[in-house]
Amino acid sequence: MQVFKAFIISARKFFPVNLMYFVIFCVIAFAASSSSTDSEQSSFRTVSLEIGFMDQDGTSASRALCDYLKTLHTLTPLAYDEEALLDGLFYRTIDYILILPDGFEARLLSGTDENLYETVQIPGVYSSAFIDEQIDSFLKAAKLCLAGGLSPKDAFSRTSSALAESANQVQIMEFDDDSQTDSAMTAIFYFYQFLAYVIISIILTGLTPILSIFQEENLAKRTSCSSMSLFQRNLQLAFGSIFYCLAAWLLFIITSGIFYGEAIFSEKGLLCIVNSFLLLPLGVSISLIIACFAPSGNIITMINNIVTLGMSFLCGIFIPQQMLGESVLAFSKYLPLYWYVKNNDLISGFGSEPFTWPAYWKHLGILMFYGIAIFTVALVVSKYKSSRKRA
Amino acid sequence: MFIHEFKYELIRVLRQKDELFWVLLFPIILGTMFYVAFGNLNNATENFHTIPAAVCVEAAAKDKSFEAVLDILSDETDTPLLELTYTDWDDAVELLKENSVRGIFKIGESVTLHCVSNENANAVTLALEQSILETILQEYLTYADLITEIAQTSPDKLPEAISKMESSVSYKKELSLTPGNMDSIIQYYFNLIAMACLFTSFAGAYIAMHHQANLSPLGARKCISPNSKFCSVAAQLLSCLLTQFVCVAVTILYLYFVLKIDFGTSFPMILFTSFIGCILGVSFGFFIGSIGRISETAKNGIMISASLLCCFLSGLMLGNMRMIIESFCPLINDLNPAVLISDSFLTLNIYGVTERYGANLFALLLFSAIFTVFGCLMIRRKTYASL
Repeated sequence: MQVFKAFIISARKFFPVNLMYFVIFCVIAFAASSSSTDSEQSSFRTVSLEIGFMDQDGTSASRALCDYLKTLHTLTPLAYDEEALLDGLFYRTIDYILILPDGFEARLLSGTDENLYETVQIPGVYSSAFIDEQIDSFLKAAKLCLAGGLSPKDAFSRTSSALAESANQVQIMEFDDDSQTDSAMTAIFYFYQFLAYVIISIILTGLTPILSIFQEENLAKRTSCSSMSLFQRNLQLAFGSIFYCLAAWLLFIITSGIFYGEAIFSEKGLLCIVNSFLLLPLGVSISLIIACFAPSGNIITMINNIVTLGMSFLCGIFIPQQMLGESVLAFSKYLPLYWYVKNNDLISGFGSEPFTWPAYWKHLGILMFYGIAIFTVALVVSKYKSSRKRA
Repeated sequence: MFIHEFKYELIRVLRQKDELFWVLLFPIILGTMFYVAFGNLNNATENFHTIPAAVCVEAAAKDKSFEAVLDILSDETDTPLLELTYTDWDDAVELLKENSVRGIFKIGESVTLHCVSNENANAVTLALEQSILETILQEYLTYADLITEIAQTSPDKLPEAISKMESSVSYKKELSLTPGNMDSIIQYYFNLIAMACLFTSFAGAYIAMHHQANLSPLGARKCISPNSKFCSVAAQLLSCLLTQFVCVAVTILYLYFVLKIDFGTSFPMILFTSFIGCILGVSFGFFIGSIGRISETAKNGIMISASLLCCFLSGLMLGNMRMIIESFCPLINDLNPAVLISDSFLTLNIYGVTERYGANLFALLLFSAIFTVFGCLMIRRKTYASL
């Protein structure tokens, strides 16, 4: 087992880099779990946004409107500092800026409709349309009350109470299709989604340099003239690779078990684990191809970045597949991680496709097919390289 | 001799594939990935689209006014608020299940709105769409309530009240404070250029390390040559700055002309700002490269970690990271070169050339001067008894 021993000694050298990947991944996974909601499965929330407001009028009408909006959103009083306003909007720390100008109440009472209030908003987005609709409904209701003969004070108070009485009208529909997911499972799906990026990265940065060492010309020549047969050498290298990949994969599975407890052993959790297992042959095959060219550490880092970041962006690991353009998806169908993410979406119900066993096995089969196909290419490249060396 | 050193530094950079990858190729690849991934993101999440809803009118329905309200909201010519599908209850439920509609308005003896749960972490857009549907119903119920009340208490005021209700004017005046690009995705590209500028530090470090006899054989040869060290360092730094700036400029050209990224400001100003960014990157690398007997690998590690940490804090990986830091420790942002570079781009985009832009550039140039002076102090007048 001389080659296997040398493999393990080399693997130790890359332990710090892999540890760094592991720690970064755990931080991301933990952040994803904490950002998922703890609420009950069947509930409805009316969206609450950040509104910055400037009440330059300071009358009962402007206060009534602000009080009404405070019941729905978070209102922050702002000074008229153009840079602070625009920075807030640009970074989306504020969704909407409402300015109630001097004379707001007077214009409302006089029946003026145009330019009653001023806004600074991001044009053409949902949040702006939503808050516009709510402010307009308050003002229209107030005008109705005033037209009905109520005094301004009563009109504003009646408007607020009428709007409060007709709030919370949504009735929740429940479907027994398993497409709704609770927060613990949501965190698991995020974990397994990012796992594809990390596992492939760890295999490429950790396994490729080790395999490259054995491809190095002098070492390869020394090994080939030793008493060890080529089959024995390759077998030990294969054992080493399997050991390395399985160890990395198991470490992540155990971590997910520590993070999410029993949920990981639910049916969906186990399906995710099986799906992630098929990343290993894929990673090993890509690693083998790269190692055939015996690149230096820097080149491996470059290739790793291009391959993993490229596939992660295109296949929907960093950005959900539903949010990618159609042309991007049409292209990414030719990449293996697309099918991994599709299966993860299928299990989680994040995608548009409902879960069915044939679809799950089909995606798993395609992923396995990619692993075998790339492995075959790696063998061909290896054979070609060695025959060229002999020539 | 100055020209000679300048020329050979140019040739060296062109042959240094590793440096070219990180300064030229990596930002282009990452920029392309951003473009591919973020291209449809705002369209899918933030940008307003007509909301699909199903309407179920039951036989028991007496009041046709809500239908009229819905028809008005779906008839607007320029991006109507609603897209309605009139159907029976079973089909409507099926449409809701398939997520083809965001809610069902059931018009019977009363009007009700039926939606699916939106507590899923992924359902932000769905929650906003459903909230708008809820507001429409709430608005209708409020008006109906108030009209009934007015009809009972002051019937003579009813026609005026109804006319107020039927008017469909907008009460708002939208102010536009900037002609710049307010798309928040643009900040990722600003940070990407900041990253490319900071990656020029590898070339700066190479110059410092190859002027130190105890760190490289080339440094040893240079040490015994009669050539002035100041002349050699100055020529190489200038040459390096020029080549690194060309690499960053190629990235910006690619983003601007090929990917058509709207930086919201003029192209020469973007180039000028990135040139200042490159001065900082090269001088930072020169400073790190000059520090003591640390190996080249360790120095490269320090530079890549420092650059990526600065870019992370500036928002390269997480969009609003800069604002999070601004809220609890603004000093970090004031000292972070990646923030200074990306904020210069942001300032140009939204406000144009202002005092803030000038202050950013001044800070960048000040840091560059400090790094260069300290770097020079560390590599000057060194003699070695043995190597």
